[in-house]
Amino acid sequence: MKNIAFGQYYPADSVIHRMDPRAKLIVAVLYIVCTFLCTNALCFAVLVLSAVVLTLLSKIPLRLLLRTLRPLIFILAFTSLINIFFTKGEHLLTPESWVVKIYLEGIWNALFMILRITILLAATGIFLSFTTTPIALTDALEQLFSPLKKIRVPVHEVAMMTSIALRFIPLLTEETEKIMNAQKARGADFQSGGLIKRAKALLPVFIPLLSSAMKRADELANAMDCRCYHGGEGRTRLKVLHFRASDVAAMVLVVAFGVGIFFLNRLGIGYTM
Amino acid sequence: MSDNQSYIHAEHLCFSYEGRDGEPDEPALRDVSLDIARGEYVAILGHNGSGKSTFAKLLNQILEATSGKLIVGGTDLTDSELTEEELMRHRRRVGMVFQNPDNQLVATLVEEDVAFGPENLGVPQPELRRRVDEALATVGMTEYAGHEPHRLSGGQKQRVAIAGIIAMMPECIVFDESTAMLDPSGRREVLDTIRMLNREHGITILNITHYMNEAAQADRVIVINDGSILMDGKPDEVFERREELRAVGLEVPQCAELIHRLRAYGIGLAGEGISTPEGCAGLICRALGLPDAAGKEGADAHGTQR
Repeated sequence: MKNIAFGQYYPADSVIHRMDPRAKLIVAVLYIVCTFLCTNALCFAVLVLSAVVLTLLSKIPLRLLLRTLRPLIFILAFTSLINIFFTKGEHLLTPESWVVKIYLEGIWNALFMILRITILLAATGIFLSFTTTPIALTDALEQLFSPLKKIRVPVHEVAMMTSIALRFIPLLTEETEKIMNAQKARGADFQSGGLIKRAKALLPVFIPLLSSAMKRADELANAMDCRCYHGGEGRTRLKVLHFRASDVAAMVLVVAFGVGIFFLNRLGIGYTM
Repeated sequence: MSDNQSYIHAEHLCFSYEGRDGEPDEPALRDVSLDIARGEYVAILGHNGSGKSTFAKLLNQILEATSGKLIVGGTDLTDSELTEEELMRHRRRVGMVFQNPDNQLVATLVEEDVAFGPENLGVPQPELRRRVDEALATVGMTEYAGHEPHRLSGGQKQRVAIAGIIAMMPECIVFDESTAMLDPSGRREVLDTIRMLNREHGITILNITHYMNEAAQADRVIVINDGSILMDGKPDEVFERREELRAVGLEVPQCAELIHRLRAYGIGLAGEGISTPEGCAGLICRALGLPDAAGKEGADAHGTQR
């Protein structure tokens, strides 16, 4: 239980792992925009190629990346079926007499949709969840959004809460297990019965857990008070993020990539959506 | 400050928690008056519910006294016009280490947690980095700087919590039953750290505890019972009064108990030193007519073992 890993972080030493988390966030957003810019076959070919290169650069095993797609199989199947059956085009593939008509354009659209969603997910995985620790991501978000403090968005507070939540996840997981064991020792049964019965069985776990979490929160608040915590104002940071040349280069590169995609679209090579 | 010598000055201090009906409960502290000098190492003893932890919480304004006067390090905490800034300045000088190590570590990495206090104070770089490194070195946790707190042992977590306080450069540290949840080796780690902070850094220490052996290490022991001070003196003096301590549900350290029993058999064991095993050994040696050096040797051996 002590080895519980947060999120999906995959520890490795790669160019992408070493990037500044803020740069990663920006690059991820821009890259996702690129996937939406693509409208023709050539563009998608280039996009797929870039995704393959990024996967190799990040040193994340392919099966890990593909695993993130699993929960989306249904949506992928559903959108592609809709695209296949409901896109009207000029190249009819099925005989005229059939009620259900499938056009070549539908197949293309379905393929583009699948590629777009897959690459979108892969990109968030490559730039964010697999290569950036949650805490680095929190820091990055806090610093990127800090200008919003001027319009009274509680950026620091949200970041603080997130990082405390991250700190307490392993503690509360451990505690849940302890409480469950204690209840099991007194004859509680969490395994059998239907959904409602099992949910009811968990009630004696949640109540002590909640009460202990409250107590912890109270003690933590005291400890933070004692260490002079008074919000984000006038606070300095031990670790200040610095953009390096490579981070800037990565951002320039992704913008250039976007511009490239834009012009490739105009060429209109291959099927166009 | 009313007295230049005293760092903590309490006068007729009273405190009551608020009951369920909004009315004040039975007072948790009644008419407590005491003075603690700068650089002293004081243990505050008492059984559960005696009011010792309440007293600790007053020192840092986590709780506010109901009546009486409390001056700590020149700041009058019972002054109703105490500003937020003054309180913050006070809390920097008087650090507090709590019982549960898990509930006082804020950050997800050891070094970031140590930095939390100075960050709040707005300490700039590179001073901040220096303070964190020094604090971690002081408690001997440098090699764990990049670790996650939940992977450390209890004693290590508590040392990290202490480092977090040290990094704020306090004058006084209050330990509110900080060893209660630790195993013996963790307790030893924390106690060694406490003593080192007092001896080498001149930090005033208040150790609130119900472990007698811990109290015996202090320069002075204050016993609180039912919200008021029952005894106040050197450990040797306090542990001489075994019957009174028993009456309030406290036991003397085992070595002191041994001396008390031997005396009951009529063995003449007069003199000071019943609060520590070394002192007791000395007393017994003298009674047996052995040279006192035997006790000294034992003390040295005990002192160097870790």
